[in-house]
Amino acid sequence: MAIRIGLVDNDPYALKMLGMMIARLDPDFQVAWTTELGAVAVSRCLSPAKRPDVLVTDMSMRDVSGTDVCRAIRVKTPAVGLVGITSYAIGAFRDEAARCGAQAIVGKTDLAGLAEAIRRAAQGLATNDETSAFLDAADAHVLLEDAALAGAEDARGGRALSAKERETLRRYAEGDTTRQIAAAMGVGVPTVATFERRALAKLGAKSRAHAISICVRRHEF
Amino acid sequence: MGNPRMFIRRIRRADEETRNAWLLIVCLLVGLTCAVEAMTRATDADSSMGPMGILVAFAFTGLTVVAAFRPVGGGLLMLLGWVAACASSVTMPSGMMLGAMIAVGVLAYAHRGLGVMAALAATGAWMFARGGWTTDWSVRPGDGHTILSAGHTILGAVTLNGVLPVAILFLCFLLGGVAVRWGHDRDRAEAELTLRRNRERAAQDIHDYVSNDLAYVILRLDKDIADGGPVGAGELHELREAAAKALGHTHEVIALLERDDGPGGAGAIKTADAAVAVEPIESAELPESTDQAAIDGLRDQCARYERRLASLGFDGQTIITAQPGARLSTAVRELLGGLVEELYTNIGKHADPSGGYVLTIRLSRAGVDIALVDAPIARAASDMELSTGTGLGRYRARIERMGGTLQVREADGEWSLAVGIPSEREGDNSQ
Repeated sequence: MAIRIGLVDNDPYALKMLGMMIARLDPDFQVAWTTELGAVAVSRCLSPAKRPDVLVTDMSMRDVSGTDVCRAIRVKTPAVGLVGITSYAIGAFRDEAARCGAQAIVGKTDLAGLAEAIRRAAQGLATNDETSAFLDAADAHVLLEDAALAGAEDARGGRALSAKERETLRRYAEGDTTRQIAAAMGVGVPTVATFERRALAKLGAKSRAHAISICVRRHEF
Repeated sequence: MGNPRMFIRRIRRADEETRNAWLLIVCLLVGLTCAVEAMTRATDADSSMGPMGILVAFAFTGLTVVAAFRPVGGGLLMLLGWVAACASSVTMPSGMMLGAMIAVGVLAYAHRGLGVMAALAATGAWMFARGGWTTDWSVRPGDGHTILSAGHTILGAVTLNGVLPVAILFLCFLLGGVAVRWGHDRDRAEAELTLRRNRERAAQDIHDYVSNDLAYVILRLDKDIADGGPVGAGELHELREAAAKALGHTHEVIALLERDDGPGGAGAIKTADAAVAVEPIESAELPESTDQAAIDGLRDQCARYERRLASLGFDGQTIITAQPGARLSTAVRELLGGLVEELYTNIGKHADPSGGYVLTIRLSRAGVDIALVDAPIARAASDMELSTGTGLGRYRARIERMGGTLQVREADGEWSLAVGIPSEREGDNSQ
């Protein structure tokens, strides 16, 4: 099955070369479009008519960073797999890329790794090694969307729990395990852990039990 | 000069250009000197100045009065009078030579060629009066009364012998007149440039602030009309706020037009929406905190316009990235404030709300990079009242003057803009 790929890189020569090489990596890979502007890539990924299955984005661009491109797309949709590429050390971008909803990051010269990351990202799956913690596209979308909603709530004046964070703590209070909560909410275990961590930070709680007691006092459940 | 009427008209125009208070005083002083000298000699039994000479002196005094009010025409007559006096055997008062020199300077100011001809004629007449080319350089104090056989005593103070010193004096007045003209031309050109820049600035401010606010009001009203429902108090308050802002900006632009400040001077409009374009601080002296304040101002401005567009049904994203050490010069801050407003307003005017938009602004040590993507709608005739289509063109010219680029592309239902503004070089004040 063909995988439609979008490619963004500020360097027109690198863009051309990458487009050609990606197309040769796998007969299923089909470079749908390329662009030199991060803004154009975000716009096309959010457009149902132009949306690719996977966006391959350079992490270090002139107009906008690759992580910002990933965040802008992921906060709106889980439908596009996001793969970062860089000619710098991967470690410089790995954690931030994971936080911004990418499914993988590979070196520009690691063509085999890029092909594998694209194949998995097309299915919404993360590609991790022992040092990375990328989330699947759906989980990352839930996290970022929830954070965006909570951010909007904060902007209106307050550090209110998001719906997902509240639900996570409520289920813990009811005795569910992390795995059960993940299954019930349709997200991965790391995502549930993130919801819990954020809730504790917002409530100023020292532990899960402390957070639950605060919520009970505030009638959050 | 073939047509006498045309010549007289040109002389009058030159008189208007040349006339000034200093010249008036100098001409009157020279005339007074001639008159005093003539009267003194008229009562002096030893004076060589006969009745004709005294008559010539008073006639020349009259010409100096004419020159005081009509410098070019009067100067021409003074010079002709002096040439005629040289050609005759009349003993002239010494002030006449000074008057002739001033006439050469004035004519050189009015017209370089005329000045050169006047200087040559005056030198030639003097040479004729001295009986040929003499190079006696002696310059000695005069006794105020004695007219030497081969010399000329100016104002009874200095006696010049020979033609060359007098020729050099005429040359000096010629060059002086030309130099003063150059200086005035340069000042006038600068003043015209300043005026033109102020007008451009006023036109731009009207476009950036007033027309954009009014366009927003019209778009909101269009939306309300299309929705067909009752308009709430909140909506009316927002519209009133936008209209009041436009009114305030109109007043500011009028104030700018009424002032005569230099470009970017105190007359530059300063609004809340151009918050990034505030106090004129030299780029090299910008403290880090000031840049942070400017960046925060930019974020606030973008957030405000995002809310405006959201109220028009747009779902868009603005991504602002400020790298460590990013600095904004006054000129770039000012440009950025207006450009961002222009971009958001253009989205409201020309983009399809369902297509959304993405605006990225990246500030770094190297400069500012801006990209915008939206989905354009076909322009209807009614759109023409919202835009004259000159906004981006004006910004393109400004950005290119700063060494940057503004590129626009439209293809496959996608409109994109890419702007690159380099960091302002030290001493570069091309704005």
